Parts: sequence; C-alpha cells; structure tokens
Amino acid sequence: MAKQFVIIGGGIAGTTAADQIRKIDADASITIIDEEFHPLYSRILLVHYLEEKVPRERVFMKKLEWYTKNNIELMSGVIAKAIDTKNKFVTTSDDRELPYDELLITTGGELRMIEDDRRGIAYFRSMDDADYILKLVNELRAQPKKDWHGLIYGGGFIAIEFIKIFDHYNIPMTIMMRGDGFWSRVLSDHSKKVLADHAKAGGVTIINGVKEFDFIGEGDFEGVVVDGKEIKGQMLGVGIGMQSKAAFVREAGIEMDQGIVANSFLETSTDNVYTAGDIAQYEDVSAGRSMVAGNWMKAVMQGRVVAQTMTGTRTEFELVSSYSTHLMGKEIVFIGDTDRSAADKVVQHVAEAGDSVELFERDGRTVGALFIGSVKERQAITNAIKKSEIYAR
Amino acid sequence: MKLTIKVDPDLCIGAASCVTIDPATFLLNEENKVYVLDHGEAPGGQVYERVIEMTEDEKETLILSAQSCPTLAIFIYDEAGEQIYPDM
Repeated sequence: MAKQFVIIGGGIAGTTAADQIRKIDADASITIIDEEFHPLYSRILLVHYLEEKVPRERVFMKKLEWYTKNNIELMSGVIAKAIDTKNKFVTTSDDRELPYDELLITTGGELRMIEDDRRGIAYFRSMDDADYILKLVNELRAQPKKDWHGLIYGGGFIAIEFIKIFDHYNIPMTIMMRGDGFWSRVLSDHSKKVLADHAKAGGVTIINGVKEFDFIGEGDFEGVVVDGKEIKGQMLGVGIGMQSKAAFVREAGIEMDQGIVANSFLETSTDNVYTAGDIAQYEDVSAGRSMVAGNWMKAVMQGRVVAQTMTGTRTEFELVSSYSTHLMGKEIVFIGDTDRSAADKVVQHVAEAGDSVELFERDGRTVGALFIGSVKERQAITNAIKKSEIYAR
Repeated sequence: MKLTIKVDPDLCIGAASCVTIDPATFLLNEENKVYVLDHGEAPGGQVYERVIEMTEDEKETLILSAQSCPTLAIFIYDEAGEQIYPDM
C-alpha cells in the first residue's frame, strides 16, 4: 500500500519536501494542508513586487498544475486543528481526518501583532498582506503630496522591507523602534550607528525607545501619539517579530520550546512526526546548539533533507545558512549563529564609517557573522564557520 | 548539452542558496551578487551570463539551485534559446 505523507504548511520548506518525496517515491500519497489560498510563492519576492521590479504573477514559484502533475493534493485555505499522534491522523478545519504514516509540520512563524487592528495598519508576511500594502500605498499617493507620510513600527527585517517600499514610492517616513536601533539585541553599537546614519542620510526619521504609543482618533489610521507628540500619517507598517505558538502541536503532546523541538535529523519528540523551516527548533550541527532560525536558504535545505529521512534514508541536516537584505542599498548579511546571548565573545572585526563586520565566537570557533556594508570577506568567513575554525583575524 | 545561464543582478539579493547547492556554477562577488562560473572557473572574469557545456546530472543540480533562489533571479536557456527555468 502506498505510504501516506501529510505536510502541514505549504511554504517553501513543506513544498520542497513534497517535491523531494515525490522524486523518491512515485507511488506515495502526498497531501499539503495550507492555510493560504495561493500555490507556493516567494515571500522574499513580495517586496520586489511592491517595488515594481517584478509583476505579481512572477512571485509565484508553483502553478496549480504543478501539484496536479505531481499528484500532490494541495488543501488551500485549510488549517490543521488537531493531531492524534497515537492513531496517526490530522483533523482539519474542514472536518477531514487525514491518516498519515509520516507527518511533517512546516507552518512557519506567526506574526506578533499590536492590539489595535484599525484600517491602515499593515503587516508583511503573506501575498494577501502585500496586496493590502499596495492598496494602502495607492490610497496614500492619491492624497496631496505634501501630506504623504508612512509610519513604521519595529527595527528588524520587516521594518527594513517597509522602508524599501516607502522609499520606492518617495513617501517620507518615520520609523519607531522599540529598542535603541535596528536589531537592537543583535547588533553592536557600531553596526546600529552605520545603519541609522545611512537611513537618516536617506531621509528616514528615526525615533528610538518607543515601547508604546497611542493612536490619533478612533476610525481609520490617521497617525500616532508618541510621548504626547502627534505624528500624522496615512499608514503604519508593523514588523515586531515572529513567534511560534502552534497550539495544535502543543496540544498533541509534541514537544515545543521556542519552536517545535527536533534533533539534527529534524525528527520531533514524537514518532513519525518531523519539522522543518521557521517553526523548527532543531539541533544545529554547525552551531553546536539547539536553535530557531528563520531564513529561506535553511527552509529549502531542511525541506530537502527531511524528505530523505521521511522516506527511509535518515539524513542529518547540516548547513551554515545566511540571510541577506539591504537598507537603501546598504548590504546587510547574517551568517550562521548570530545570537549575541549565546556567543562567548562578539568581535567587532571591521568598524569603518560605513562598514561593520562582527564575528560571533563560541567554544573557540567562529559560529556566526554579520555584515553591514562591505561583504568582501563573506565567503572566507563562511568557509571558516563551515570548518569549525576561528576566523583568522 | 550547452546551456545559457543568466543571473539578473537587480533581482539577486545574495541569499546564496544557489552557491550552496551548485558551487561549481555560482559564487558571490564583493557586491553581494551571484556571478556565473564554468565548472568552478571564471574565464574572462566575474560575469552574470555564460554558456556552459553540461552533463545531465550537472543540469539537474543547476535546476535545483535555480529553484532554490528566493527571488527567481536565475534564468536558464537551452541551445535553441528556449527558457527552461523559470517555467514560462
């Protein structure tokens, strides 16, 4: 009888796994349960779409025909409600009970949200979010140009994406950060300064230390009140991080901590249940510790590796992953393990006016690095991390 | 077979998943963009487009690496000039 594979989450990790499983096992039954109503698309490309670099249809990485051709059932707009790990089936929001032999959970992180949900507040995770942002941007641009103003709350990757969008449409902007700079708990003071100087030179107004704020008015978004001062604007982009709640996973008795706990083979605490992508808290071989890391490269590679293990060839996941973006043309690259609290030492390797390179060291070796500006040592440092060496400074 | 491989530097963000999967064909330059190699070599310097003679296995690795690109910045054409990735 054909083996039954169920995958909860139709993003890049889950879809890559489905693709690999099909290549390995032509007869397997493969079902993807996905809360979204779209086939696979690239979350990374969404900002390119909003910056008008690519048309909307180019964001999609799979067409619906791909699923049919590969005999993969895609259940769109469906949520997994419960997992019975003893009798091995998943109950879905449309009341189906899907039996599985092997189950993969790749639901990704969930957005942290602010309490208020008035019109004009935007998040940025999905295709639907991107469409909504474009709508708000167009409404903003229909106003007299002198009134244009975009607001951003947060200081990480998503805040940077909102800066790109506003910058593309020449919308003046103010960014309110909870901490004392971009990635306040990750970056050194020098790195923060390089980024803040660059953003300010590009016309961005930055307000640090905004733990809370009020809204102007009761209706649609008109602006905020920070420390008694009104800042008017037509929209607010919020990017204050991700979390992994996945209540149905916890309720099923599958071990969770910061994410779904897995070993270096991406096997969870429960037999025949695996995880990959942003929701996985896995034993990272190159970092030498258990960690959650949300980035595209890792999600792709974990999808490929976990498919091997799920089809009977137990394969350990090992990768020095990286994430790249830019702030108004200033390159930003994170490589490997850049958790400051988990490092024995963080070395400020380069500290030039427009450049910063930091090296994260633990147990006598380099485990991570981050670059602001110049990336010329990227390959050499990545190689040192891969070889478990200390990067020769 | 001969394949034409092209990277669009405007789309490339230096995610480097292609470099991880197919290091013989892709490498990062100092601008954090990926350029195209011919079996690990860069005759004529760092260029964003090359025509490369490839085996069937090498082609498979190349397609996998292109599929892993989050910005679909890698374009592959066959000898007749037909785009084989991304699917049109």
